[in-house]
Amino acid sequence: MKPKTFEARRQFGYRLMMTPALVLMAAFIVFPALYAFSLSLTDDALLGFAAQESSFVGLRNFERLFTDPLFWNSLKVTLIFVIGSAVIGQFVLGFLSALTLQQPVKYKAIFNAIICLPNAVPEMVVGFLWISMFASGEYGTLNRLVAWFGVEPQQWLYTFPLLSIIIVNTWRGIAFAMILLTSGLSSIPKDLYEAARVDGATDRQIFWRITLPMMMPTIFLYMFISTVTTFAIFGLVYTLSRGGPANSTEILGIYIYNQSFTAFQLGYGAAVAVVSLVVSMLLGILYVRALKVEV
Amino acid sequence: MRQTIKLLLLPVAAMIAIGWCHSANQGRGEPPVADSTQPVLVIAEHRAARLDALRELQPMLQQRLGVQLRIVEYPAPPQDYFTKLVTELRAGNAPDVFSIPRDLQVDDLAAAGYLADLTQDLQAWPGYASMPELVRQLSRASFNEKSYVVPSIVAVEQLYYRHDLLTQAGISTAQPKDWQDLLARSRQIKQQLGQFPLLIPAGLTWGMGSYTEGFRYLLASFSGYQLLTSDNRYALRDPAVAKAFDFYHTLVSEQLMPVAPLLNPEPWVIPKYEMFPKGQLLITTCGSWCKTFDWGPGSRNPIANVDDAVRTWRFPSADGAEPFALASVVYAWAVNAHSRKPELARALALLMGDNDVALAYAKRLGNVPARLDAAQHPKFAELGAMTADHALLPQARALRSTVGANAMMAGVARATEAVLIGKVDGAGAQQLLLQYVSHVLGEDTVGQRATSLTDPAASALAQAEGKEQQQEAQ
Repeated sequence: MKPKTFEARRQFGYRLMMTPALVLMAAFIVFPALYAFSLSLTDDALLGFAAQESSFVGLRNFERLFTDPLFWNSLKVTLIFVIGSAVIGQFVLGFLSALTLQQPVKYKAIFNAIICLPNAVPEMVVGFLWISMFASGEYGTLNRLVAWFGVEPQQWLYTFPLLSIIIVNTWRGIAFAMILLTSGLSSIPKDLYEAARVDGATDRQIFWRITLPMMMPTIFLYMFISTVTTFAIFGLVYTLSRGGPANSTEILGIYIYNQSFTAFQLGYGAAVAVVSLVVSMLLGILYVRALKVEV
Repeated sequence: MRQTIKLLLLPVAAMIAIGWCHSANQGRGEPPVADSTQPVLVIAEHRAARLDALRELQPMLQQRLGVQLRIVEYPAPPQDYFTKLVTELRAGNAPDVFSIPRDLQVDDLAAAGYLADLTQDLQAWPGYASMPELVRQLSRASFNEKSYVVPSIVAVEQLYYRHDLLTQAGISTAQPKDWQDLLARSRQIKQQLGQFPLLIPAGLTWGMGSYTEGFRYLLASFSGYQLLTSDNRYALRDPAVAKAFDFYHTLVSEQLMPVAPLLNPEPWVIPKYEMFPKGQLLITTCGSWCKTFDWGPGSRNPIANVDDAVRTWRFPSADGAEPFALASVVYAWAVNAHSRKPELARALALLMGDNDVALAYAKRLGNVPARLDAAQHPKFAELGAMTADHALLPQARALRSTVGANAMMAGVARATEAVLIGKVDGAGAQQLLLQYVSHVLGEDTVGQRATSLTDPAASALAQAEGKEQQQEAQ
C-alpha cells in the first residue's frame, strides 16, 4: 500500500473537519430545498381533500404564481424593503456609526451599547415594541411625540406602511452593519493614513481614495449577508402589519406564510418559496462575483 | 488560556443550571394524577378562560372516564391555535381530542382525513336529540353529511348598540326592520351625535373575523341565500354577494363606519375596546361574549351597568324578511382520526358535550350551551342575561360552508379591505373575491350561477343545473 503523503493526509483532515458542517447543511438546507421543490410540483395542501391525496401538477403552481398580481406585488415590496432597509438604511447609518466611533468620542461605550441593543432584542419583541410606538390614536408613543409639535395623531402603519417597516428594520440592523464595518475599518493599515496625511491629503480625499476602496470587500460581504437575511425576514413584519394594509407590506416571507398556513396551500406556498430561494441565490451569486473581483 | 477555558465553560454551566431549574419546576401547577396505571388521553386547549374551565372539570372528567387527562396548552389567538393544530394533525402528533374554533373549519379538517367519524356515536347519544337542527347540521361535513364534531357551546351573534346614549339623544332604539332602516338610523346617529354609528368588521388584518364577524351577517341578510350551491360549491357569483359588499361600500363612502382603525395590525382594539365604551361608536356586530369580555365589569374597558347600557338588535334583513340572530358552533370537540385510544377519545368528546361541561365553558366564555335541554339544568340561571341568547337558538340562522372555507374567508378579508381603502365598489369586491377563491381553490369550487332567492329564476336554474351536473357525475 502506497504511504500517504503529508499533503494527502492534510487534505483528508480538512475534509474530515468539514464533514459535520456539510452533513448539517445537507440535512437542514439542501434536503428541505429539494423537498420544497418536489412539493411545489404538487397540489399538496394542509386542509381539504388534497391533504389526503395530493397529485402531481407539473409546473401549474409556477404558472399560477407568475400570473398572480399579488406575487409580483410581494416581490416588488420585498425588493423595496431590502433596498430601503438593508442596502440603504442599515448600511449608511451603520457605516456612519462605525466611522464616528473610530474617532475619540466621549462615552463611546454607551453609544456602542445603544446601537447594539436593538440587535439583542428578539424579532417579535421588536415588532410589538414598535406597534406601541406606531399605535394610532392619541395614546401611540409617536403620536404623543408629534403632538408636542401640534401634529394631529397619525395612522402611521396605515399612512406610511412600507416606510414604517423599513425604519424598524433599519433600526434593528444598524448594530450588525456597524460591527462588521468597524472590523473592516480596523483592518486598514494606519500607515496608509499617515502617508496620505504626509502627502497633504484632505479628510475627504482620504475617505474616497483610501477608506472606501479598502473597505469594498467588507462592504460587499455586509451587503451579501444583509440582503439575503433581509430577504428572509418574516416575524418582524408579520407582527407589525401582517402584510397589510392592502398588501402594501406583504413581503415574500409573509406571502409564503399566507399561502401555506392561512390558505393552507402547501404546494403553491412551496412554489413561492422556491422562487424566493432562486432570487436570493441570484443576488448571492451577484455579490460573490463582485467580491471576487474586488478581493 | 485558563481565562479562555473559564469563559467557554460559563455558557455550559449556565445551560446546566437552566436545565436543572426547568426540571425542578416541571410538574408544578399540574393537578395530581389520580392513578398512574390509568390510560392517558391528551386533550388540546387554549386561551386562559378555556384552560381554567377545563382544569376545573378535569377531576370530574378523569373520574367518569377512568383516564388521566393530559392538557396540552396551545397558542391563544384562534388562527395561531388552528394553524398549530393543523400542522400537528398533518405531522401525526396531534392530541387525541381537540376543539375546532368554528363550524366552518370542520369540512376542511374532515376532508383532510384528520377527524374521526362520530356519526354513529352522536346518533346513539341522547344529547344529540336535544340540539336544534341548525346545530346538528353545522356538526356535519357538507360533502358527505357525516358528523365529525360534538357541539358543546354556541355563539349567538347580533348587533350590540349603546342603548343609554341613543335614548339620551332621543334616537329610536326600536329593532331596525331592514338594511334601509339600519342605514337611516346610522345616518341619524352620525348627524345628531357626530360619532361613527356602525361597525361591521372587515379587512385583511381582522383575518377570518372579517367573514365570521362581518360579511357573514350581510350574506345571511338575504333570506333565500345559502353560501353553498346545491352541488356544494361556493355561491359567490350570487347578486347577494355584490350587494353585501355594496353595504360596506355605503358605510365607507358615507363615513358611517370607522375605517382607519380597521387597517391596524390589531383592528378590533380601537373600535371595540376603546371607541364603543367611550360612545364614539354606537352599534357593532358582536356575540354573547361581548358583555362579559369586551365591556363587562372585569374587562379592561368596562361600560357602567353594561346589561342596561348595551342592548341587542337582531340583524335586519336585506329583503324585508324577519331580522335574525346568527349562530355558530364554536369550539366543538373532535377526535383525532389517528388517536391511539379511539374509543376512550370518543367517550371523552361526547362527555365534553354534556351540559355540565357546556355550562362551565359557556359561563366563562360568554357563549351558550348547544343543547336546548340545558335550560332545565340547575346551573343554567348562572348564565344571567345570556339565557335570552340561548332562547334565540331555535330561530337562529347560519350559513353552511364546505371545503376551502379558509381560502374563502381569506378572499373576503382581501375584498373587504379593498372596499375599505376605496379601491373598489361592491361589484369590484365580488370580482376580487371570485378571482381569489378561483385562484386558490380552482374554478370548479365556485358555483356558476346564482342561488339567492333574491332572484328566484336564477335560483331555480341553478338548482336544476346542479342536479344535472350531479347526474352527469354519477
